[in-house]
Amino acid sequence: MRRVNSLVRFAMVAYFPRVDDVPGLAELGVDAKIAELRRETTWLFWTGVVAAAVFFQLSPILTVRRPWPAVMLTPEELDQHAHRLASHPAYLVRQIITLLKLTGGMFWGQSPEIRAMIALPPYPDDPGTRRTEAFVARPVLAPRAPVPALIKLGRSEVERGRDPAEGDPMHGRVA
Amino acid sequence: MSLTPRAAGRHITFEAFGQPAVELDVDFVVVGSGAGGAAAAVILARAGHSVAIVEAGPWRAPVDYPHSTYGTMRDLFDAWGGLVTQSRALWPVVQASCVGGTTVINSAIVVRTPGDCFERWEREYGITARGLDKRVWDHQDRLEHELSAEIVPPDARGHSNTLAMDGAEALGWDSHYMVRYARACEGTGQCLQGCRKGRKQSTNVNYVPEVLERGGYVISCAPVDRVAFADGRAAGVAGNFRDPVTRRSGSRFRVRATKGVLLAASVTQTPLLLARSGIKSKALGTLFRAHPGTGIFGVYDHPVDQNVGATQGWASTAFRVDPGLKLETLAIPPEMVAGRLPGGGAELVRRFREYRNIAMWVAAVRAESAGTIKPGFFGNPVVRYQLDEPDMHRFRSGLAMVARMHFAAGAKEIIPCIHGLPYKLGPDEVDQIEEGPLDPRNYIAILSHLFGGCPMSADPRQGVVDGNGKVHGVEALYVVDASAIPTTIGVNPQHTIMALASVWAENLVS
Repeated sequence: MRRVNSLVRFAMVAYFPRVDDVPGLAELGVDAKIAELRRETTWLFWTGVVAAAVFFQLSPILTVRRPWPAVMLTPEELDQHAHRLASHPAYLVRQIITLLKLTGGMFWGQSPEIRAMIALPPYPDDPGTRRTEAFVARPVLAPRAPVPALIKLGRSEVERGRDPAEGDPMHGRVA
Repeated sequence: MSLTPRAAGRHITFEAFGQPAVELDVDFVVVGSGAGGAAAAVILARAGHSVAIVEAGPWRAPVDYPHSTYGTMRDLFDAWGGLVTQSRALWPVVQASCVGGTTVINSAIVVRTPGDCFERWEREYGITARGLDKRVWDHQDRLEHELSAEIVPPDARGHSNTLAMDGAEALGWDSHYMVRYARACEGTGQCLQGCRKGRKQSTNVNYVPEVLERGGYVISCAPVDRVAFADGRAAGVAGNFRDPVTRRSGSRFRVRATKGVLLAASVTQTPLLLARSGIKSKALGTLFRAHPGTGIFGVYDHPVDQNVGATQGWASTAFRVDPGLKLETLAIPPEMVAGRLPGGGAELVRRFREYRNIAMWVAAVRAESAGTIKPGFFGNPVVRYQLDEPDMHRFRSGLAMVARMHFAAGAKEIIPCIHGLPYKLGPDEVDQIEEGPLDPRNYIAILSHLFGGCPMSADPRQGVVDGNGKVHGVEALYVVDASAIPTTIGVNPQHTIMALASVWAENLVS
């Protein structure tokens, strides 16, 4: 089990390495995330991810002309391999890698460190809960509270005459 | 467990294997709780009928919604978003599986059904229901009122949407800030993960609870296996509960319906359910259509922060007829952008560093191409769908229009995300998109507005249901979701689906 996870880890980390001050996926708790994915996702999804990781290992011949597995490439070759595979002329190759890249991108992009880099607050934990009670009431709305940046932009919109109160409330209807 | 009709409303959810079967007797059973199912169920419940809504996915309230894309795929999407078209290009088919259906993860965009749709349904499919257009628009009036249809407030728009308006104004294009089923939106940019503020009016926060309040039932985590028949008419549905975490099968449920069975399980699931239930029709699974959409990133010299503000807040329907497009903004979460930008390795990370300065706007094609939905080897939906050449021309010109809009709004470059084109293009290079590839495999697109599979037509050889949503040749069996719509409509379909379902439910009441 650990070997399969390591295989997936290797490929995902190659897609999101550290670059200067931007942390790479390897530094962002990727092992726990892969284990969680394996535990929670569908058999089909996980099989696709593993197949893509295997393909990533076996395909340096297609990209950097090296007839050995990706694990034996130099760091520069590995980086080139990841890049060229994602933009390979063969559609099937690109598609195989898409699943791996999207999943790795999800792990990397939603980590608190990357969100801080793009001025977004960290995601709280996903609750993973559902309603089990016999009666589910309608939710009660909390007072409206847009963030200050939006309020400022909103003022400028009103100043520019883009206030919905002054327009047709159903503008955009095509019937 | 056996519940009698007219007992107090109740939500029933997963029961483990070995537990007694859940048995219900009602007037109407509605399979699916999304736009069509919930809209129909509430009309029936308001008329005093006992109604049970049976939903394959779990019931998640706003407090249960995930924050991240990972959580969204796990908790809200059908099969982790793994359904793709099986044709030359593998384009994802986006659908939710939860109480509220896809209304939980869409942007709740409200556009009235264009009048030419009714004319086409009459001309090509013999749908001559008198006054259908007027009845649909009357229901749309009601829905807009009940579900708080509002223009995106100025202080919820965000730069991506205001820039799009700037671009459209500079080009002289007719466009508007969207009207959405959202009560005083705060612009949290979380439409696709479900609005945790509860402001988006997905059906799980209004019509489905109303059915409970009116004494109806909601059965969640309950994928329907088949429709049951008695004396030649639909008489109920049955299936086994499914654990939303382990996906293991649970105990049996059966819902008997004395007056009718309404199917609204989605465009991909309703045709399969009918096929599993033994409905024989040459039209079953045909006329699958969609509005395939794809986006172009504009790169600006100032932060756009596209995830601050409404996920989708601007649109233009001016090009719906010619060339057959809808233009929209769409802010996808950063973790999706990370996987969507071209390339890999250090180059991909360097490209992502521009995230704050990019905005994604999309073109959705009012495509004429038609595909099929058939059951796969494991009973899963298999969607075969491919854009033909005229649609690919529209697709390509839509992207070129979006690119022009970005430049008109002040973008310094665009990222077309088209295989074979440079990573970035400048203002003088938009012609490269216009002359770009016509092979769908060069584009990353999604299918989010789905139609057909159980198309309506007066002719049973052409359609599965008639103009009232009733399955040809079977009494008391109705389809009330987008699978009955035989054409694309060129605008966001939720408003049309809800109104059509309301009209058909109203027919049953009267």
